[in-house]
Amino acid sequence: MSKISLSALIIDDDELMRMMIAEALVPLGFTIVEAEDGERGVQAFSQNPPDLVFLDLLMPGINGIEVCRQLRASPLGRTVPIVMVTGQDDRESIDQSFQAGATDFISKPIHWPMLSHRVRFIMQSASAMRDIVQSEARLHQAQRLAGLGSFEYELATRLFHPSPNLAALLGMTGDENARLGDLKPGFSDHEWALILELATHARDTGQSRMAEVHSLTGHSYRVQIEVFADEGKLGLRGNLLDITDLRVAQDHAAYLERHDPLTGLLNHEGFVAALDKMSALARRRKSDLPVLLIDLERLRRVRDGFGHRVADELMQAAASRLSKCSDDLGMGTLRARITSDEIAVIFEGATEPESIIEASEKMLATLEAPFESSGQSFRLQPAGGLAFYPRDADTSETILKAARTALRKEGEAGRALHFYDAESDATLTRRLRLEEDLRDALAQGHLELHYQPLVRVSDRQPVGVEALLRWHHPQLGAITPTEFIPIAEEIGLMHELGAWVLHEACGQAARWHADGIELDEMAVNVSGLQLADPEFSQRVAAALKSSGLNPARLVLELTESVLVHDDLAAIEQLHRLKSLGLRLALDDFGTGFSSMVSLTRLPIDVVKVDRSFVQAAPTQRTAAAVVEAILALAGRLGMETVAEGVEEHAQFDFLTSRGCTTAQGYMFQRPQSASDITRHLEKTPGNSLKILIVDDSRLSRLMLSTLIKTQLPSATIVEVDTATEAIGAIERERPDLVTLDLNMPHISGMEIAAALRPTHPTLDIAMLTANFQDSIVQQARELNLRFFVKPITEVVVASILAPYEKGGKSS
Amino acid sequence: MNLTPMQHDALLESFNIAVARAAVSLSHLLREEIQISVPDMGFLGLNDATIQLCQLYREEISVVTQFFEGDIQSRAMLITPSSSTRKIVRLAVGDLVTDSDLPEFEEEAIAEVGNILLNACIATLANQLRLDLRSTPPSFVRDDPKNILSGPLVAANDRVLMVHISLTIRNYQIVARLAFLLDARSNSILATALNQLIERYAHGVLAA
Repeated sequence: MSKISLSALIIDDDELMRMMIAEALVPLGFTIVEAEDGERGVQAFSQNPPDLVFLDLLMPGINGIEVCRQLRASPLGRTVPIVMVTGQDDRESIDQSFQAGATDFISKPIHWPMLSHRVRFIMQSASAMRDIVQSEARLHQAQRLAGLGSFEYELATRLFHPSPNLAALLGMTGDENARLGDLKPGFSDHEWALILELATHARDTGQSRMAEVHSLTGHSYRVQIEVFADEGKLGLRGNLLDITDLRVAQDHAAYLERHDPLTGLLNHEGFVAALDKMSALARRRKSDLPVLLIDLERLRRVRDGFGHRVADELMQAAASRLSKCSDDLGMGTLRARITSDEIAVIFEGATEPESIIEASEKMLATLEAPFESSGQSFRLQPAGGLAFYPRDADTSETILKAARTALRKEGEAGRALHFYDAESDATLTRRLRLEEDLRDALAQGHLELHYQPLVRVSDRQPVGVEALLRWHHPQLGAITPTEFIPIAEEIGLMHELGAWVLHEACGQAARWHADGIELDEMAVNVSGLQLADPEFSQRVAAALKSSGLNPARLVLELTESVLVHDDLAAIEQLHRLKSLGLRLALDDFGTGFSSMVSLTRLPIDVVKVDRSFVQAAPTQRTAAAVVEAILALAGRLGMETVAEGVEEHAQFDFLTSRGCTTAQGYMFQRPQSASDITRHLEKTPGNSLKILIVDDSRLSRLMLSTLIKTQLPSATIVEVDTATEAIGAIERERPDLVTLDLNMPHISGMEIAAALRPTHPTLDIAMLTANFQDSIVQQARELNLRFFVKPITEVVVASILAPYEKGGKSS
Repeated sequence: MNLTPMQHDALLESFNIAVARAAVSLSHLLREEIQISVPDMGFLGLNDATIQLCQLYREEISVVTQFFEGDIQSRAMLITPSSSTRKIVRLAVGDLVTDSDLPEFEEEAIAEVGNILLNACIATLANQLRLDLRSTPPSFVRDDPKNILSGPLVAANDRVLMVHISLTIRNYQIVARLAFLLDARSNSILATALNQLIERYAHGVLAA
């Protein structure tokens, strides 16, 4: 008791008694305040709250018990130790005193030596009690803040002890004499039963359980009830945690998880969840669930041009138009915003395809009307794709994909609604795959340039090649440029691809030049996108520079379509390119929209006549007229002319007679890899053996050409199948060697040889026949023919080619 | 015409020499060892020839036909049962032609086999008999045996020189016929040529 400021209040009507008590307390460090009756005592207490109260039980006026009760009721009197002093040692007074809140009880006569010890003990207890009360108060405070309440329920006595905040927690008026049953009105029967179940379970098993219960006021509580045993008494202790806020927050979070905050529509998650639920229903009904995906593609542009706020407003407006439309239709729909510009509509109740289509079209129509935002009018041009779950696709992801596929389908013009069909999906899937793979194709070496020779018509020598891009897809095989070039353009890969082609082609041409293979022309195709690139001429210059290729050898091929507009920028570009010293060719001429006039207007050096005209020219008058006109005009303008797709002699003859300068096509060579075409070009022109096979039997021609190619790969082989063609072919082809079948319809090989000899006395003619009779051998000898007996075998072909082995012709 | 025993032997010998040469040519074509023998031959009227063919072949037959002109005129035919030709076709084309294209080349392949065989015979005969003969390109038909020796180009009094041929390729035997339709003039020229041959044999002219 070192604390000096301790004070004690002694309330007693007996002055002597007050003095004696004071006498005992002063040595313990107390300052003393005395009061001679209850009223003064209460007053003194409130004026200067003491640390200890001595209170006489029997006083005139209000007695000690009443004073004690009043002191305890005051806020400061709850914890102060109050020692009751009485002369009576009766049980009843003692009970009453304790019930009124007395801390201790001293009966007269007082054993003074013991009093100081007793006071010391009381003070220690009081301090401990104060701590407990404070911590309990803190606990209650914490519980109140946490929304935590508790109660104890004594099983034997049915006494119910709620924590101070329990009543407030449950929204009830508090009551000291509360009973467990008082809680019941706050809950529905069902919820109350839940609480009782927790209680019985705890009582019967000794194990605690937890449950979430909801009060009638809409609050949610987590309730846990456990068994406790205290001094032999068995009871239940309940804890209640108000989780209403948590649940509200969780519900809100759950709502946000499934909904689009902007429009209040379901979001993608919400769509998936809703579809999952409804799909079960659809399966039970065995009907398809229609899913309409609406794309507001224009919204993307609005967002770019006018900002997010405007786009958001329009989206909100679109969503509310849709819900109004849905209400008007009286058709249950579920709407979800799938991406920033897409809304999906699930028709919940619809079964008739006609009504779904009608509803879909109405929805699109309602979105087609202009929207207003910031004083501006916007048209969103909605497009819709309709797919049926599970008929078209059976997962929430794939049904959206199917609807999107339908949406992107190029349909009849003016129609905004499209239906899914699996076939077009496959096309799109392939396209998407190619898009994906094309990005890596270059790096992975799946792209390659092939080269097709351009042949001079006058002597059929190769004068150049056209570089053709080839894509060998590791799984899908060869992909044609007509398929992948538009993809490259769309995904923005064309510049990179075009640059690669240019570098590769120029590099190859330069290497050939270094290896002594002289070609006048390396033709490279240029797309419209490349031409539109302001830096294209610099890129070309770079490719020329890095390869060291003479610019005069480079020909850029443009299609008519890239020049269809009177585009000054394009024409300027052409002039810039020309200034690099290269040549320009107009590809596929005749197919596009340009007229002959464009030939005079554009700085073009070469005109390539489209294959469709070339191939039709020998048999169709109109095609022939077109080819003649192109060749004539180009010739007069001093342009070179290339015929594309030459496959047959008749076509070649036609072109020759009309003054075409160059030809290209399978008749001469297919496009081949750089190494293959190099082998072909390497045989120095003039030293390559040209062989004309004249035989009516396809089998014989096949055997001859196969065996010749095996034994003399450099040989150029031309075949004709009738004797009548033979002489014309010999004039045209000027072969080094002719293999001539004796036995042919109408004219025999011998007759042809006889007709040829006067003009071609030294032409090497190998006569082949199964008829080896002497007179024929004799005639062959007289015509200076070499004579070989069929069948055509390796040995026979080797003998035919013997003069040409080891290089060089001999006569 | 009825051949004397001597003429018969001389002609049979000529055919044996001819098919021996044809066998060499064919074995080049087919890349297989081939044996051809001529067990018999004879002149028949059209009806008898047709009856013989019908008895021999109770199935569709394949016929390669070539016309020969020059000192004598003849329609020459190689007649084989259709069922036996497919085996020859594959051998004839080797690996030049894929299985799928094979049917397309079948007729040409058989025609080429006929071309080699018939020309080898005609050329050898012409050389031995000192005749000058030209052939037309071979043509191919499949038909019933009874129709083979009829048609607008056949004269009623034509005679058929029917040559029995046995072709063996890898243990596989094909019974074939060479048929030469000869008119009266050709018959008589053939007879004369045969007599001259016999005379040359007698004088050892062909010894070398």
